[in-house]
Amino acid sequence: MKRAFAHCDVNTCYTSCERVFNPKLEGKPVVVLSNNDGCAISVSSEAKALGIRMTAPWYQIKDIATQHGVIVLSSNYTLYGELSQRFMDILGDFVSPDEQEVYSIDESFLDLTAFQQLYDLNAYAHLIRNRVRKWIGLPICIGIGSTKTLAKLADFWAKKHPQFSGVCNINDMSEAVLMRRMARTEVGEVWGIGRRSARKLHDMGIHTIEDLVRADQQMLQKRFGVNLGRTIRELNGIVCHELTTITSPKQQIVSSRSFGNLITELEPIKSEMRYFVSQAVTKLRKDRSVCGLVGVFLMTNRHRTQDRQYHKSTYIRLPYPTDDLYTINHAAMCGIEQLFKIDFNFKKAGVCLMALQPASMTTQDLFAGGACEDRRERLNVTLAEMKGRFGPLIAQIGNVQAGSKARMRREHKSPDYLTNWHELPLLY
Amino acid sequence: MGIDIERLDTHTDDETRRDKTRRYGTTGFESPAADYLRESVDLSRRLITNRTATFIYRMASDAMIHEGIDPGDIVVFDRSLNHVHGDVVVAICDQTYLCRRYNEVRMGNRIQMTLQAANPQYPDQMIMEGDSTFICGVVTSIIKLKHRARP
Repeated sequence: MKRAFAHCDVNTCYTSCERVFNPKLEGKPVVVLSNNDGCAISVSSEAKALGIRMTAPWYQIKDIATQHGVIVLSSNYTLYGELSQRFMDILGDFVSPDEQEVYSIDESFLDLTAFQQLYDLNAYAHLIRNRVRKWIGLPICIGIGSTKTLAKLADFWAKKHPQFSGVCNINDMSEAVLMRRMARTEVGEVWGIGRRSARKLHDMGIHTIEDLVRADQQMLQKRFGVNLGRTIRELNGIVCHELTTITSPKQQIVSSRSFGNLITELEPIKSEMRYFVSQAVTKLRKDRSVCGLVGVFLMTNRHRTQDRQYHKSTYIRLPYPTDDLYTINHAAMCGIEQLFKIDFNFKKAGVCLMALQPASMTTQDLFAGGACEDRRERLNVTLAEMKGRFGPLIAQIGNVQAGSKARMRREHKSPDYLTNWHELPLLY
Repeated sequence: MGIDIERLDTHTDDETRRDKTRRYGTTGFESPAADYLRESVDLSRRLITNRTATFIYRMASDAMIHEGIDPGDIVVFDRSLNHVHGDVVVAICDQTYLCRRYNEVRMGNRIQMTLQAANPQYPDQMIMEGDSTFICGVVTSIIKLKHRARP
């Protein structure tokens, strides 16, 4: 039986979230900026029509924005997180937990294979779409295909072409129609093909998805690696990627952010790093995972062309997989000391926990255990509880800039409509 | 994480409650009430049946004052409910959130839908075919805080 995956995502998620509570934004060009008001991370269709692109730095679009009365907002992740949770919950009502993958804040894959005998999948998808719209006010699109890659492609078409009314089902399409659509869609739109690969493929004469599907798969796999091979097989309807559901642990945890100001010294960078580590470890422990590898990166602002540039990362392998804040923090500090160089204006740093596995699967290392470990664990639990009760800034290792969060630039943030009694939306 | 209401909810299971008694429990005789422990009445459960679709707003005008909805009151509404004649609803009209009573009035052989305020200073609003008025959901409760804690 043909598999049926669905890809559901919120149209221009952050601007749509803002519109739920502020109807005055409806029909107007809206842009949401990243943390510290760095660059555009959500652009409404009206703003796109003015030529504002995703990830455009704020200072580059400032003029167009003021000229055309574009409404500019700082990101309000508390709000988006809360609505995202509700979005995922609604999707979860339609499938069982092992049939849903929460892929990002605004995207989810569903495995609808078992439902196609019971329901007309298009009708089912419209039911999902209408419920999300009615219950939480967010517009979504749904793509259906026999693999995740095809489902994501279908969703791209559903968004792009209004005639689908938000639901595009590739499983319903004839081979000829599918090929015609693939021939009209650029290869770079395929999930898993980055900008660089797309450029290389263009150089080889592979411009559209149809070109890619018809190309010599073995030759491409040799040149680009096994992942592209998988992508092509998925485009041909052969499942290579199953869902990563709540039951399967995450692949990696990243915590990073641009600094409020440029930093030239090691100590303040370390202080920021400690905060990132504690954020990442909190997530790690919540997932009941342990990590074996700590990645650290440090970079300057590549838009400041007058500055000398420096972008570098390094990895520290831990002696044994752990979720211990001290061990991971120590590793990250060693990493950042290695990376740091004097005489650069640093803009951003971050930490990435990798080689994750469930804590329950860890084999006890001969050198890992013992009474000391036990006390460490109790301290970790206490710290986690304190953070849960009093907020993430209550207790940290070493010297963390307590104001880190407050210092962040968010000049145009909307109210915390859903999480603060003093900022509830108003009725007239 | 939501407002307090959400947080309250996480510890109200019958099971958790009994577990707690067990954990901190008695060293001597077990409480004779142990088998009779029930969940205490919980406002958030009473007021919110569909958590995912329920939103909490604040009334900012006197438009519904004769319905007993005063400025400052907390308005709970459920977007999953379909409105029928007589419901107090939340609607978006001219890009503004309104709280009004939804009425259907027979006019000849057609039914005219209106949004009515409970204050003569506010005129009735007819909902016309094709206009942008949108009814979001049905108000399920109004909360009045009588003794506001000092900030």
